[in-house]
Amino acid sequence: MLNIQNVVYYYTKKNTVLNNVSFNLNKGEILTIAGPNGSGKTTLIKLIVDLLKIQEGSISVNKTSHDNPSVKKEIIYLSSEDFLPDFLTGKEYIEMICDFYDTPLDKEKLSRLVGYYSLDSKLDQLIESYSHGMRKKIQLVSAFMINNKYIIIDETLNGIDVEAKEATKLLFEQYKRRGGSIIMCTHDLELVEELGYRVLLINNGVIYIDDLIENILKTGSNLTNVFKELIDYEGMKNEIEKYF
Amino acid sequence: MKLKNIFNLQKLYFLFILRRILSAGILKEKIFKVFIFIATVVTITVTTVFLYKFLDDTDVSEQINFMYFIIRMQGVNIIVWTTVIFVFTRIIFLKKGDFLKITNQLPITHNERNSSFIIFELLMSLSIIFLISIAVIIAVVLRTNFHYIPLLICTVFFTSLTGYLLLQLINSIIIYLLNLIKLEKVSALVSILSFIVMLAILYLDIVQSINNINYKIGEFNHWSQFYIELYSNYGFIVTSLIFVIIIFLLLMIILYIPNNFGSEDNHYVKIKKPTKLRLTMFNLYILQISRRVENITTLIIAYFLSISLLILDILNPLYAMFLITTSGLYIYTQTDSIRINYYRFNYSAIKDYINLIISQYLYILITSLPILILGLIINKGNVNLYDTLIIFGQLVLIIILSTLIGILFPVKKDNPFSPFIGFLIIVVISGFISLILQFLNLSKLYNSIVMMILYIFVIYISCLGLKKLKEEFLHEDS
Repeated sequence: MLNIQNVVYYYTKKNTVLNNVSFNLNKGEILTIAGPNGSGKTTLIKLIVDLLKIQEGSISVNKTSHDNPSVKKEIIYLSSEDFLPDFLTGKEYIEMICDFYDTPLDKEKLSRLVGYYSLDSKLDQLIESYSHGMRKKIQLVSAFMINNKYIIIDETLNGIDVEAKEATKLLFEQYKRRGGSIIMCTHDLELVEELGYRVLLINNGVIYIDDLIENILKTGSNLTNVFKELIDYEGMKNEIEKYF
Repeated sequence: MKLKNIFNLQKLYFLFILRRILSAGILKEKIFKVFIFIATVVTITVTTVFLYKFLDDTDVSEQINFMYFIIRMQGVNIIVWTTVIFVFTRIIFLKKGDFLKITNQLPITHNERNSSFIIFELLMSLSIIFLISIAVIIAVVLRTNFHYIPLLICTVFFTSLTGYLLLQLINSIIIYLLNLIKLEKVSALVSILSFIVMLAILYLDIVQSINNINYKIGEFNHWSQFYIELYSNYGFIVTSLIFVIIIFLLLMIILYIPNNFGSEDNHYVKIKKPTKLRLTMFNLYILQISRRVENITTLIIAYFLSISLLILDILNPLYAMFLITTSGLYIYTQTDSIRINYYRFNYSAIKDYINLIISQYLYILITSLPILILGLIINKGNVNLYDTLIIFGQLVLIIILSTLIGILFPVKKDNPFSPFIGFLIIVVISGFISLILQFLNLSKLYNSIVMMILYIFVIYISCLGLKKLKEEFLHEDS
């Protein structure tokens, strides 16, 4: 279980990015984190994967601190920013990631995964020649190649085609069934609803909602409406109608 | 072509340099800026004082107008510097295509985009030529009041600007012709190779002219003296008028020649990696260096230059391999996508630094082998063991320096200005240090010790820079 306890993160005392954030992620659970730009989503993820040092609070995986090297190897992180090494071919990139996680390259698994993502003919080409969507796809392939316990995805599903999205959803389900846990950061609220798992809405560094999608939908509302509430949509609408 | 658009683009490039380069990285630190300023002022002052003393003509034969002779020689100097800087800018700006992408959304034509860049390159190169000449100008003015100012303007300003535009015109013609025959992919390479040939011819031409100088009467004839001759025969106003006409014509022709060629999109060539090669950080760096198109282009240029050096018997051909060290200016940014994978695990700035240096050195050693073998086969006297060892030693030192520039001035948005400005700053600092060493007049042993301490400092700063860049990366957009 991933346990995030009273995490606080700030640049200056006046500029707090995360304020007392706590939640758990259980084995076989998928959690989507949503929130406006600058709400603290990426900071939270960078803290979990130990790219940022915790200032207050704690993060642990099965009671072992998240900065422990063995724990780090259990988490694969797909960044939202495009930091793929352009000078490698898709296959070489997968080899590199497998090497990082001490996982032998399973050729059959790779061949199936690249098939789902229609990357077969592109695997031996340099990543430089890949389109935006293909770059996201190769990141997803690398994540499913590694059999670790956690996948943390920051916006990686944005920009991929329907076929790839459907394949990803099926792979998520299978991953979950095998006991893997996923945290996914996204702005795509429709996708969050479609996936139908637990959602964590963050605003101004504070958890606004932590609930299952079905519970939110039961109230007769939907995520977009909750989000509108969060950003004071009515106020903004009135102002725009008045001034523009 | 709208002049307003070109002007606005100049403003954009200027702001980019001001905000993304001169206010980023180590240049954010006020103390470093103050140090650079002091180093520049001291270097110029000391050089000026040295030249002022040198220009004392009391011991020179009355038959020679010593000052006039020195300024004429400066004319040759300016032509050489203009050509060297032009070739250097061509190599550094091989990457301009990526940088110019920031202008993709603007409602401008390719011609406006490229023309604005040509003008900006020209301004940058002229500033360097001015910096190189400033000490001579001040020293001459101090010696002779303002008597030689018009002659200095003709020598420094008119000659360099005309020379630069002439080279630019040749470059535009070469690129245009190559595009016409569908060889646009190799146009940058062929253009640089042509300029290297020109540089070699210029060198031989100048050596011949210098050998023909009549020192008794201070007579010296060379085509670089065009404006000086004009000034001597017709005065400053006529010379200035002719200069303006020439510049106007050159600029018009350069801007008239179509240069609306898109930039090359491919940065890497898929060179096959050995199947058994494990993709460790070191091996990944080697792959990056050997697959990068600009590095391959530079390697071809270096091979071409070394063969020229060998045939013309000017220098040890291995000196051409110094060109390859320019990859050090970019290696930090180009390997960033590898580095960030290590940030989560056991990243060590020292290990990373060692990998960066050794991978570049190994690449240069391997690529130097053909030149070394060729040099030994066609040895005309410039290839010997001692020189070769010294060159391989110097290569390490230059790799360390260029990597430092790449770390201190990371090439954001693949812009060509960061390494250019970084290089300038390092030249100023190196000049400052050489002056101090000159002033201290230490023995060879002490000089070596000082240099060793300096290099240890450079390595320390580079590792510190890598650590700092990691912190900056982790806190970016959080």
